Amino acid sequence: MVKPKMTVIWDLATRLFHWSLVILVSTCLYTGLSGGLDEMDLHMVSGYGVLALLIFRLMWGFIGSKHARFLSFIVSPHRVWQYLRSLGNPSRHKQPEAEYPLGHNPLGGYAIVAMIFLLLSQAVTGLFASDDIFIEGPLIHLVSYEQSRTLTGLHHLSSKLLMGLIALHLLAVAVHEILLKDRIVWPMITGRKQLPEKFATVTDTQHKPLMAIVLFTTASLSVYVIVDVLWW
Amino acid sequence: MTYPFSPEWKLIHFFGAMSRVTTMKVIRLMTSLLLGSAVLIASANPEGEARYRQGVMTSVGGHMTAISMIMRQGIHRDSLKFHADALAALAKKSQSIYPEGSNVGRSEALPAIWEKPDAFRKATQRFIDASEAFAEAADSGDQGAVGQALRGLGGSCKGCHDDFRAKS
Repeated sequence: MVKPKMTVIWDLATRLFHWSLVILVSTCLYTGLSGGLDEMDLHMVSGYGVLALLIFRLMWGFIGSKHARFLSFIVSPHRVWQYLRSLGNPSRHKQPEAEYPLGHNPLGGYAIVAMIFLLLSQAVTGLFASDDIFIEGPLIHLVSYEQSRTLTGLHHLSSKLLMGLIALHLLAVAVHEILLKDRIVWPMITGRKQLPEKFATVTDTQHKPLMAIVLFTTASLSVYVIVDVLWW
Repeated sequence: MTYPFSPEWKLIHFFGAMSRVTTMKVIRLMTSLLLGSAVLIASANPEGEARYRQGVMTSVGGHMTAISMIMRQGIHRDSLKFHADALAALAKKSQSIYPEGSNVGRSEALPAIWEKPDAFRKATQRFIDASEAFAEAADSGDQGAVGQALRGLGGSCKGCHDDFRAKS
């Protein structure tokens, strides 16, 4: 019996990023929607965590491993169209290696861009936001009262867009797992994906742990500077 | 000094010339005229009312910021009671600083304040009660009670802002 071909597609840093983001964004949504004093303390801390993760991810998108790079998954709209058409084709798993999406698929790549954009807008507007009671972002002193009101409004608006995008993301995951029989959750945990028979050789993704640690430390330090050094 | 020089004497003489019932009627009339003109004066200056209200609410915000720094940064702990008392005093104003007709100018006050006076009164009463509870907790010095009362206070602010203040 031939052992199924497995290959590492998601490096360790990308997976840790993903699941940390799940935990922190869930915390942010729960605490933000509740709005209580203790909850908002946690909201701010987890928001700083999200910001650190995003700064890391932006850098990782340029110098991280193969499938984590923006250039590998942001493709032309034509490729997205081709991909969508191929979904209706039952023999799609037999397509040439070059066309088979190992990491983010062509449509999913744009979902990642939208997700990073919305999360970044949440994290950044939050730095200038205020609930006009007890909670204010650490950079609120850099903007006027009216500007803070506007940014707080944007913070609330993009939180709704974000919830919509998260719902879409979960729906897409369900479609892949159930309808397309494409296992994508397990690879995001173990990093390894089972490949169609067609693949002869695929190189495992390199983890580059030292680089990831250096970048994440840099990202965390940037957030520290934002929330503590620049605070007033 | 006696009549006609003492003003007290004058007053007694004025009312003394009337029956008891007439005296009461006159007093009632004068009181209602006085109250009526107070209301008239209040609504005659809506801009001043709106600006006054903003001054009071900004003071509330100022004390909240001070309390926030005491609680979070651990500074000026001995001033907690001062700010709590000031807040409780300001909270008592919350029911009289939104007179009819003062929904003017650059204001974040929603029309619901005047459209649902009962609900608004309930929301401001919650603020008054919560600020008093916080002042009592601050007086007791019990950190647990202070935290608990502060949560109640924040909740009362949020409850009113959610329904009666323009969303940001």
